[in-house]
Amino acid sequence: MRRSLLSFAIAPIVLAAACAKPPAPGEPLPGLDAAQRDQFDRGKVIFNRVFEPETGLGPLFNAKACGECHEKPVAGGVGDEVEVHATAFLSNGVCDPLADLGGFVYQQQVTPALKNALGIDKEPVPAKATAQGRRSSPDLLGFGLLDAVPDSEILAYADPDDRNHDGISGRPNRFFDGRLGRFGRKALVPTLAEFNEGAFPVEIGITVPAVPNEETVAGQPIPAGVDPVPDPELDAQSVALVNAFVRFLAPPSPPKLKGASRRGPELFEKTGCAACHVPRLKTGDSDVKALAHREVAAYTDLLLHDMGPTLADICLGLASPSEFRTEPLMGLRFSEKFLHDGRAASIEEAIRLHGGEAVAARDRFDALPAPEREALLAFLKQL
Amino acid sequence: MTRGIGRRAPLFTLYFSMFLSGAASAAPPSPAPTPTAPLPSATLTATVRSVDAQARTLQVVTGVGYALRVVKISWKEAPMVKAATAGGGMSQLKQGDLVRVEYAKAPEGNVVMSIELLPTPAPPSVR
Repeated sequence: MRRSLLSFAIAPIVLAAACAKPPAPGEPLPGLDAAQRDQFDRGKVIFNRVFEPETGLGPLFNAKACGECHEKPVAGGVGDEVEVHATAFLSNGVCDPLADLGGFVYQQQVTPALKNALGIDKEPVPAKATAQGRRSSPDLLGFGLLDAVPDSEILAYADPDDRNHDGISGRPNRFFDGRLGRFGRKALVPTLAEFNEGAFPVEIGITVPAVPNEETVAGQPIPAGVDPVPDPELDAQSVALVNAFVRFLAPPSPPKLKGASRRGPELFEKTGCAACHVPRLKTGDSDVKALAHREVAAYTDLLLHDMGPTLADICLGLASPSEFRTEPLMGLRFSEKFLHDGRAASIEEAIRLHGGEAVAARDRFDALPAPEREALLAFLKQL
Repeated sequence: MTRGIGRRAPLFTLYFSMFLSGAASAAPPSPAPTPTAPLPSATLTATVRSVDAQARTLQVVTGVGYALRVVKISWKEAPMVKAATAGGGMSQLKQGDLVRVEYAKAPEGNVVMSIELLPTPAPPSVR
């Protein structure tokens, strides 16, 4: 009798847990402790902080705040900004990231003081560059989970020599110190924290303790007096809070498949899309319980794949001009433009622009009967 | 903030120490030489950007995320490059190589203490 009473008492709790609503876009991961939740909330404030020259902005920058480029439908979402990258792909196959000429990100805005000093409106791309690429702003929801995927999980999908003869040969990129990369459209950056820390100086012109020097103008130091704010312009605690905000952003909720879109997952497999856009990755150990040993519906393998000459632009690290990291499709529902540079106006157009290793999957998509193609697109629009 | 502030400080320190050493030579011999403190050192794993054998200078690329930086390191007596296959001189290094460098942070700049060539995956053109 006592046991049945107990069961009766805890049943609503169990039921509530099972029926717990998934986090809405922009909300934190479920299961964070109070301290982590506090970091998330405080980090969000700094993520949305608008910098001005008096608070360290620039002198070269692409945006005045993290939240300027990652804003729709919430902080951490997508943006309509497109930035410019440039590198030199040398005849010996080595990629020169133009680190001595200001790096591969070419800031599109300057402060009035820099404009007065040098007469420029943006950082000039050096003549040495062999290619330029445009980069749209992706959403960051669930990126903490991607960060927690062990290297071994990613490398397990690598097949650089296509030994299984499926036409898919994903291979890892490496950062300049040899570590496995996973963040960025060319999978250059190993960790989310490094991506965020590097974004402050590169995107906003805000120096941080890990990068205490400003970007150069095509390799030339910033003229004296142009940026008088002492370095670092943002302290370590603030950087850590922004990292916590981005890391703890919950992934988009699972799609509620209705009608024809219920066939979407099956068709995604059948066409071969899932060979690169791996539906689920598993996280490993983490100091954050909410990130440890979870499945993340990322729809990526975080590896480089040849996408063909039409999409090719810059090289980066070990990535050749035509190689791109499989774009995570989680959060696709928030995008209004598609592919790494936003050139595609619809998901269907983006699929049709897939080349290289993706040609067979693209052709299978094209060959689907119209109702099945519509079902697959309906599914993708809900990711 | 602008770079370059305080760049003359090492030069001043060098001149000042030369002045002091000159002054010391004119003074009566001291009982025992003071042991010089070892220079601070650092280790860096990075990608070779250039090697200038004449200028005895190595440049490597490192960074944090998309914020890339070039680190310049010189050498005095040509160090042997440790490698998995066969070691050699600095001239064997080429752009794109992955190296682990231990260097001293000397007043006149970074100086190679040891250098190791690490294995790297094939570049894209070889695919």
